[in-house]
Amino acid sequence: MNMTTARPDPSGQAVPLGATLQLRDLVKRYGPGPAAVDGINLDVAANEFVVLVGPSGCGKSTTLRLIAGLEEVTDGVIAIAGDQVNHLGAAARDVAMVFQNYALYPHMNVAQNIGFGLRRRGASRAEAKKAVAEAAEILELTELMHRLPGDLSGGQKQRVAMGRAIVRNPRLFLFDEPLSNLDARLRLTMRTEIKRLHARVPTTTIYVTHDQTEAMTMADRVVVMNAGKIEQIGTPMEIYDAPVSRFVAGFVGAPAMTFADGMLDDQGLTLNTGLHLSCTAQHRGPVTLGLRPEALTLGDSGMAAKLDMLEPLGAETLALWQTEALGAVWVRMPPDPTLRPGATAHLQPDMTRAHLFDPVTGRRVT
Amino acid sequence: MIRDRRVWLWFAPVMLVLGGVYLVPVADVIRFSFSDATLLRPVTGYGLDGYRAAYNDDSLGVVLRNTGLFTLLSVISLQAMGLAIALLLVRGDRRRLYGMGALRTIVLAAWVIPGIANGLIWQMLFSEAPFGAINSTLRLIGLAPVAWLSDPGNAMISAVIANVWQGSAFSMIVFYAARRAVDPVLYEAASVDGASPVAQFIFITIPQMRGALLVNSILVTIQTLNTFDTILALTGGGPGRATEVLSLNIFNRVFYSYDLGGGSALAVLLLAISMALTVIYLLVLMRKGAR
Repeated sequence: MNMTTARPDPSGQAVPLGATLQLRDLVKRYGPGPAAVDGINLDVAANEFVVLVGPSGCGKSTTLRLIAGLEEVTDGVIAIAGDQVNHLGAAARDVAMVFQNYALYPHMNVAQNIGFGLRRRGASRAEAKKAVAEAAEILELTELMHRLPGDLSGGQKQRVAMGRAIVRNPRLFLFDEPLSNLDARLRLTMRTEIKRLHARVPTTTIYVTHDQTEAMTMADRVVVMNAGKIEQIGTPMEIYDAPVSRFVAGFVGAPAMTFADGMLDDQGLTLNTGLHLSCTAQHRGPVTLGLRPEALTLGDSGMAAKLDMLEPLGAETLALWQTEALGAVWVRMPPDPTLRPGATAHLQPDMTRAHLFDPVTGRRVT
Repeated sequence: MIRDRRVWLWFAPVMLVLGGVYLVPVADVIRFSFSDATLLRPVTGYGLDGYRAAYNDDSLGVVLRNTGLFTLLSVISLQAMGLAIALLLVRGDRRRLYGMGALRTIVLAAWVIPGIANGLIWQMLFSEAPFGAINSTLRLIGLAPVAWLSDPGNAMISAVIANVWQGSAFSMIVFYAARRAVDPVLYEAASVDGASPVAQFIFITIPQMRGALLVNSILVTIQTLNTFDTILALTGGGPGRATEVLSLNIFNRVFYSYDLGGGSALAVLLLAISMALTVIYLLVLMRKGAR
């Protein structure tokens, strides 16, 4: 795959394809102690939208900065469009990056900010002006072209930062937690806008976030990272339905999965709290049971539970139940105005939707 | 505005100190400028004779030209040197090179040397006698010695070099602080945008340090205008009047010719120039504050 490959689009113009990206055994060390990025392997297809997600300090931002050329690789290979780029500086990699705090040039107006990269790469004043106008059109920035970044709202700054990235038709788009400085409502809007932008201007995109909802909603594929390593790569639904480890299971999904330790034998699963559940898994020995909020239903039989708290969300209600067998568990329920904290009921786990993990390694068992 | 009159109580100490240290002497200079006082004899009468004599002096044109040239060359070189050292230091800091602290200290050491000592140091370095350090070195590598202080054209350059050597530290501190205040992510964004180091300097560093550059150029200009001790020790204003700047001319007029009235009349001119620059400086500062 090569970035010069082009495909015709309906208007007859050639639209450049985004480049592929390969990471091979990528390592970044800042000093003695554990590596910030510890041997990462990743293949990203052209025009794919890949989200790197994980808790703070998991190495996702460092990985992105390595791809951008803002950090030097300690070991391993980064290849863009099949060519190794380890030795190239950020300027030579032809990638665009949207930074967490936007990093707009404060002394340049919106048009100059967007056009800066084009001009530095040798575009003429007229070419740059035309491209900037197009990008501004896409991002609805036309009215703001002569404003300075200091006079823009957070969402507008965000759009300028994106304009600066798309205007160049880069080989890769890199996003470093671009929405974390926005308020919740704007974050939702911008999430949609970024997805729409990707549909309109398809480019290979690496998007870093610590917000698992962002990862789930935006990604073609999600890469879950932990302690400098990749835990799992998969589509959002694969990650949600078949987490490979207890870490992924606990990190993805809101409210979080409930875990309980127990023993699996021929009779089924016996939790340490004494609860017995039927289970068809082949594995024998100690396991950790994981249940998502939708894997528990209210019924006449099952664990005795007392309602602790309700979070009505409109279309559905999240309920926190206290149980002897599992401790506090979140259950996803239809809205029920008669339920009040303090109510008692029985919870029935749906074992076909249960997840089992090795309590020592944290790996999924079947 | 605070209406409470007790505010003046709090202002009193600073007003007393400022008044005693600055305003009274300045007022006294203005009073002397209208008098016929000399160092040997108290005031016998007031008038404009002092001004007339001082401003009609044939040497004033040369002195003002020297002052302008000395100030212009010094200010440009001071800023360039200060900026270069500051950027070097920031780069060294970022790469965690050893000896950055030592380098900062060395530059600052030059700054704390008194002007007179600075003049003497450079007089020895520039000396055209056999022990002159620079000429000895030139001879050692087979180059012809240079008339650093005896040639009128070179003497001005030599005075500027001595002044710049001592004064760069001030600009360095201002620029070092300003450069450190630039958000490093701007450089990352610029490098991703394809900007070369030179382009980053032109499009990020310079615009981001514009305020510091403006303020520093005015401060350095005022400092240079008031410099006379280094030149006094280095060349004494010579050869001829080749390096005689206004402040030195005032000093000579008062302490060699004992003409307190005439010296004060020129001091008022120097004060006016400095005041004008200070007003510009304040305007720049206020505009920066308003943004």
